[in-house]
Amino acid sequence: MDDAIALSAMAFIEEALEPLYVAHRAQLPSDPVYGWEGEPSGSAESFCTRCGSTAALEIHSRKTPRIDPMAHRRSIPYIFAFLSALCALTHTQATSSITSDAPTNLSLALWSPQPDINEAAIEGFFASSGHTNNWAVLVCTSRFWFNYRHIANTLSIYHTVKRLGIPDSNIILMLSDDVACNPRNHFPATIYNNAGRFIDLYGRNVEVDYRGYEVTVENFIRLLTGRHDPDVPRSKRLLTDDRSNVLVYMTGHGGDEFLKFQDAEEIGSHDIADAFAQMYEKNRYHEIFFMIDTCQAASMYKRIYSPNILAAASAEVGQNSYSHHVDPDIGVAVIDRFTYYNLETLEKLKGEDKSTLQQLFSTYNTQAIASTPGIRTDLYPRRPENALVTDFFGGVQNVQLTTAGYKLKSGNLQSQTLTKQHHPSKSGSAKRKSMVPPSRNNALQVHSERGAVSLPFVLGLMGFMAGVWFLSRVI
Amino acid sequence: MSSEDYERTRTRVLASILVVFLLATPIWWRTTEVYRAPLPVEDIRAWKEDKTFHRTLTLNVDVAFYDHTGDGSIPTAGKLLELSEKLEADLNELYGTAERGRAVRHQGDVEESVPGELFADVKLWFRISGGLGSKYWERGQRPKDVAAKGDSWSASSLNGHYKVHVACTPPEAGKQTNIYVSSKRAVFVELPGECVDDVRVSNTLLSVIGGLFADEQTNYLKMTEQKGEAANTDWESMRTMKYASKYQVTFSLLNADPSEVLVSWDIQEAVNAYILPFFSQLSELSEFAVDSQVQNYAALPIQSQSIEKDGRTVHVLRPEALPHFINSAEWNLASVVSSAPPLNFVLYIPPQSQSPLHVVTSKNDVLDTNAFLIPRWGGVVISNAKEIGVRHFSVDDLHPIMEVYVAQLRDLLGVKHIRIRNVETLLPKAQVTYETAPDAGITLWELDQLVRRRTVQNIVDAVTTLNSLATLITNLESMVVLDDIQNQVLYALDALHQARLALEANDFSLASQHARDAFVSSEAAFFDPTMVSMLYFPDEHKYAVYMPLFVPISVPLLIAVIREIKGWKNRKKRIKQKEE
Repeated sequence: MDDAIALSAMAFIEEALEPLYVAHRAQLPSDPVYGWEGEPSGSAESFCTRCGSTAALEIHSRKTPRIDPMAHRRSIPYIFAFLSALCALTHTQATSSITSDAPTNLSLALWSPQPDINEAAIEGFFASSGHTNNWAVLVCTSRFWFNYRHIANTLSIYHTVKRLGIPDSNIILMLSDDVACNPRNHFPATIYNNAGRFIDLYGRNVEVDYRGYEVTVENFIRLLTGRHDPDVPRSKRLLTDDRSNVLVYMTGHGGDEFLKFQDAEEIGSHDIADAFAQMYEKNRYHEIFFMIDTCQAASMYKRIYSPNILAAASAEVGQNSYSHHVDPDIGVAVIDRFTYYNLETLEKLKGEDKSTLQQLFSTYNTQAIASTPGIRTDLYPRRPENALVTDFFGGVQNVQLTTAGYKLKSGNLQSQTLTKQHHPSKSGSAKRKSMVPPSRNNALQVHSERGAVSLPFVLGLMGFMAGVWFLSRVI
Repeated sequence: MSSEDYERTRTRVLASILVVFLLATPIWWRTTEVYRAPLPVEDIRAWKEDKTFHRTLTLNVDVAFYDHTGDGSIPTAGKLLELSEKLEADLNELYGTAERGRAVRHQGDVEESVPGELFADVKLWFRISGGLGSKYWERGQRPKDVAAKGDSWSASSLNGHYKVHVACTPPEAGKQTNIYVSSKRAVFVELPGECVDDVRVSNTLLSVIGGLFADEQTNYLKMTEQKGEAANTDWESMRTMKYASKYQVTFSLLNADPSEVLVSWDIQEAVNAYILPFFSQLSELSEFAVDSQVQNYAALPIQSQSIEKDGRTVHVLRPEALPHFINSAEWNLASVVSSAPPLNFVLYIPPQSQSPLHVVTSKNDVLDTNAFLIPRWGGVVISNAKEIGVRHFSVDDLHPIMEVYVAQLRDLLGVKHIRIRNVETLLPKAQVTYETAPDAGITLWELDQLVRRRTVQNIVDAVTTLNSLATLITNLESMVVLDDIQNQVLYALDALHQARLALEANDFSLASQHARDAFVSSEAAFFDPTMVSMLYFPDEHKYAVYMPLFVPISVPLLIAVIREIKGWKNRKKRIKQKEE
């Protein structure tokens, strides 16, 4: 009885104070001044151990941009004191009768968090961004020799992310054309992004995952959504998880809300938005940095609606995006302006660099780029000021030092018997496979098996024949 | 031909064309329609609705008391019954408060944007039975020895059934409560001189049993709030691989310079001896495919620092440098054989120019294991070759390395050390020993927890996936849905139902199988390659396709029809006029 009353009283008060908590939540966790022992995340504070009432004190910082947290902060201890007093009051009677009651005393002790045994040993975890792996999807959508610069753009970014530590297995490189081997290339088997020809981008170690006519809208969507035929190799798949930061870089010819693929088809901004949404639904990314260098590029990120996506584009809607300079020997433009000025910053970075994306954005010079770069941050609560460039362009992994192994028996003798033990599990798995209905992976066979179509078809055919017969009779 | 005949012919021609059009319309309609197998969207949504999956996982705990006092001061059978009833009530109350504290927290605004976040809420529920045990645990026997006997009485063979053996020993100076958590499903508790005091016995047992499952309970509560700010610092979840029904485990021996050291290893025997027992324990959850490789000329991708130590030059890798250890594009570690999630384990032999190479902590202490773990990727051990020549790793040589790998595997697969949570505060004087499982690498306590956790996780994931699929299909009307997808979805729903039934019957192994099936087929349905249609197909595009076809035909046709109607009206008028 007492508990029920107390709980409802608590609930009422908590509700009344909810707006205040909203204001404080971002500030409060693990504040040593007030001496609360919270969970590591600092999210729930139990002020009444009798009934387990807690005050929710952590709210997304983004909800409280206008309230000055410091002003309200001071009042929080009083509120807590008040709530605790109320708790004590409502429980006085009950407490006196069951002081010896074990669960009461134990509850707090038990549920107060205790760090993992390993936690103390965890060392070397650095990134607070929450990702454990990096992926890059770099797409050049244009064909033909005169689009040399698009291939050079993509390869330049490829070069950068690889230098900053994303392994080839985590880079999906899509190049629609192979200008390095184009007969018009004055420097065969090379691609340069500068008239000075400093770096051969084609180099020795370029792994192109999708090449030539494989670069299609369908393949790109399949790549993002993870819906492949089973025989598609691992190197062509985006095997990301909920801890992956993904860099998606696209370049080519585009217009308002579309980007041309291969001169034959185009991807719409809705397609990209839907693909990202599906990735989000299946936890296929932690954060995405979407970068696009094309005309009216800002229109391409307009439709995106999934959270944790940051986007940068070379030009606002209605603006063209221009190439930077021509190499007279090669005879075509070798790089686009937006990519060029990004690279100016990126090429100076080292793997451990702490520059933020905001710093990268602030280097954009509208005069030099000749278009206004668009940046979209409303879906990105972590803010570009807090995101490192290397969170997306670098392959920074977290590391945990292993301090001790797990004691095992020295096992020369067992090996024989244990191999045998392992076999039953194999047969078990075989049995399980047969239970799951086999998935059909061949091409779309939508109508082939259905009789329903044939009836209207036959009817229509008869009608048509009748019409012809009728006409012939008449004429 | 008279004008009358001419008109009639024209009407017939026109009518026949119109008839053809009318008859062709249904054919066109049917043939351009996308095939969409009906999905049980209602059923799928029902799983996500609030409180659909509020389960209590019932754990049966047998408490057996042994009289080691010799003077019969053990509680009577009636008292024991009372004691266990009280224990059960207290435990369940204790676990009830854990949930309540959390529920309030969920009223926060963060959850607002994610409706139905709490659709799965799992609570542990205890069923305690108490009684006297006498003959198995003899007086004077140490718990370790009793546990080692491994008889069926001492530990249960079923997931979810546990035994607590309580020995009442005579009070002895300096002797404290001794708790021994065996590697099987049993705990041994020695209570010197405490059995007289009911409350103390009850308190101790409450702390022991409650503490053993507290971590698990907290975990279930965490599961429902996967996304959020706090997740960014949740190392546990960052480290643990996502569940898959199959993993590809690759052991790689990387040798920096074969001109100095030639290496070989008995990896197959070592895996059989040390790793497979661990995998066979986990076979209930996932399959593991193991392969191995040896690569030469694997240059060290990062520069080590050299420091002087004990008069020798030692090369050290500081933790800041370690993240770049694996980045070398030259090491082709990714397996192309399967698309199962890979787990990589690397044994690295550094070049002589940089050995001995040691991993140091941030305080510059050399790490004995010389190993580190990369979350969701695998583990690395560095082994220094002592001299130039041939280096062969025999099964015994690999023993310490395999121990490290097993420790890393446990972390990567989410195995948690069994422990009595907050035992220092709950039972400050007690001495607690946890038995490890040196033959399998995982104790049954840990395995049970893992199975239960993965079961719940798989059910939650399957439900989420099915709901995503339902949303996707409802939103994208031009997407083809084959019968296959329908089958997979129906199968997943059925498996979910079976899993729920199994959980109700407390059959955790069966539930885990069904949960895995549900997870696998819901994933298969979602990631089916046929599920990619042109996602966005605007109406303008459709007009663009049909316009060139139909406008040239339909304009003259329409004009002809209008003319015909006009002519028909005129004729009618004329007839009327004639009649008049």
